Amino acid sequence: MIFIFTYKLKYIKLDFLDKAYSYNFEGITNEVYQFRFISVGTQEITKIVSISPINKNLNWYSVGFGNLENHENTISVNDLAEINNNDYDEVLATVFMCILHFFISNPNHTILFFGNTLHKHRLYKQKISSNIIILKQYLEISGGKIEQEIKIIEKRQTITRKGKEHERTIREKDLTSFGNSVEIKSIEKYNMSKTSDYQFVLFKLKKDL
Amino acid sequence: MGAKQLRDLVENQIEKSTNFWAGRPKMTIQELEAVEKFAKEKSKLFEKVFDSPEKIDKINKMQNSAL
Repeated sequence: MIFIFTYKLKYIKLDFLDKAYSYNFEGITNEVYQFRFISVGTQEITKIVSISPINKNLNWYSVGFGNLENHENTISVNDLAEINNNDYDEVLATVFMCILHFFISNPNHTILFFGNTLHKHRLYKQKISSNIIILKQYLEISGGKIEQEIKIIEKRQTITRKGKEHERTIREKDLTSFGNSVEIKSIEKYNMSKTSDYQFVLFKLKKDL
Repeated sequence: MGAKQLRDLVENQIEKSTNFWAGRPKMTIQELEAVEKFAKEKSKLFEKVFDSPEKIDKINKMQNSAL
């Protein structure tokens, strides 16, 4: 009986991060850690994960990810892309693998994580909560709030699904609207019943690792 | 134990990735620059949070108490 329980627990623990795509660490350019992977589904989409410094005194880094796009020879990263393979688990597992990769050489650093739209921010917190046991094996997780209210910009997008065009509204967080006074109100241990309050999530490698 | 598990996890992933990425083209300078630009814009959004030594000290204390 104990054996079965242990086996199941081990199986569950490995499940989420095992979904990660094969990423490539592309190197560090001007302090930005760059990773690349390919999302596979109805089409192949090249995605990147970046980890870059926000504050060097506290060693806080920000993680970003999006589609690497080339429109008329202009290359950019789009983190509001309408094109995806509905592989959120695989994409997020890959992002977490990149974060763990980063922590191997930067064990005392902190990663700040937030979604740039309301939908994605909620989705990411749901995914963190549903995989909390696995993530907590390696990471200290905290949730934070900001004093100022974050403005939301509504953007209309036309997307094509199964050959049909659909209109959708993206509620993007306008963090550029903060002006000069932005203050962190609180940081607390990540509490799954309070995630709707968190405007950002912090990851740090567990001390005993 | 945990540290070894983490290293194994990352090393397994690197091994899997090395096979997957073998022979595929490297990222171009333009692509690396585009990622860098994106990353710096993303980081900039939270830079103001640390714009004074007092704020940095307060954040440090809040973070430590949450660990």
